[in-house]
Amino acid sequence: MTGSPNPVLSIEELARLFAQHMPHGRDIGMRLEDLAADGKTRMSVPAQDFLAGDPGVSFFFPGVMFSLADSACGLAVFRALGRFVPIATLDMRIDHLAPATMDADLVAVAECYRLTKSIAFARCELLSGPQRRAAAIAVGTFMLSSSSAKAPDITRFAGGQGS
Amino acid sequence: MNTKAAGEGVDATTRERITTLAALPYARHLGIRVAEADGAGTVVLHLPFETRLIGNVTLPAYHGGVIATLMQVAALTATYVLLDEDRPPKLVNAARTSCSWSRRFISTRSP
Repeated sequence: MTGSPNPVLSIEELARLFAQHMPHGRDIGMRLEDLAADGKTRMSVPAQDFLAGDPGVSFFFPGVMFSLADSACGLAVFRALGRFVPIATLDMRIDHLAPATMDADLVAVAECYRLTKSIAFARCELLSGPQRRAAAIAVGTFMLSSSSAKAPDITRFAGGQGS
Repeated sequence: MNTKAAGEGVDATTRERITTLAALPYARHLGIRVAEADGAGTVVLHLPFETRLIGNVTLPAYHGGVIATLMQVAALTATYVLLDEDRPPKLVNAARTSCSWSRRFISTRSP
């Protein structure tokens, strides 16, 4: 992995660390799934009562879907880059196709489909229910930092709960 | 615009609607609370900062989903108090493109 600022960690390991240590990702239980042959980045968040968007606790709150899509797209960008570069979400829109039911984990399948020098383009499908039905589609653009920044200490907000 | 403390000087139905969306599980988990609402479509929400809400540790900044949720709850609440129907509006609707949610970052929200 030439050009990597951290030759010890593979980009997959780095992505996993980010998924585990991102404070809000930890807060709601986001997980990075194992890599699939298609090269897409899969993340999931387990169905938990406090993530519901209705009093009957039947559906995920739309904001949870946004959080997962944003994170999955961001990790897909890291993987497409093959190295750590600070990124920031410039824009993300999400179309809700159906309510995301809480009878199974919410799953995000993301890919970075275009990289330029300063912008990354990513998209993500959110799947819900035992049948993994498409619940939402998200499209986002990310700004890539031009600085040669090193990976930050991603554990500094972990509050001593390092995994 | 003259907003009032949440629920002040409004009827019981409106007062209940003002707090309905912010009381949903995920909104409550984040710590969203209604600070001001005038019952005429204006609502101000507060979200106290906590490190568990960070999504970008480099800046650092709130997670985009947290900001999106805060905006969604604000928009849904502001809409709900004006509706004739007695159920909250849904952001999720398979048939309408207006139910999509777009968010543009114009500044960094550092805690």
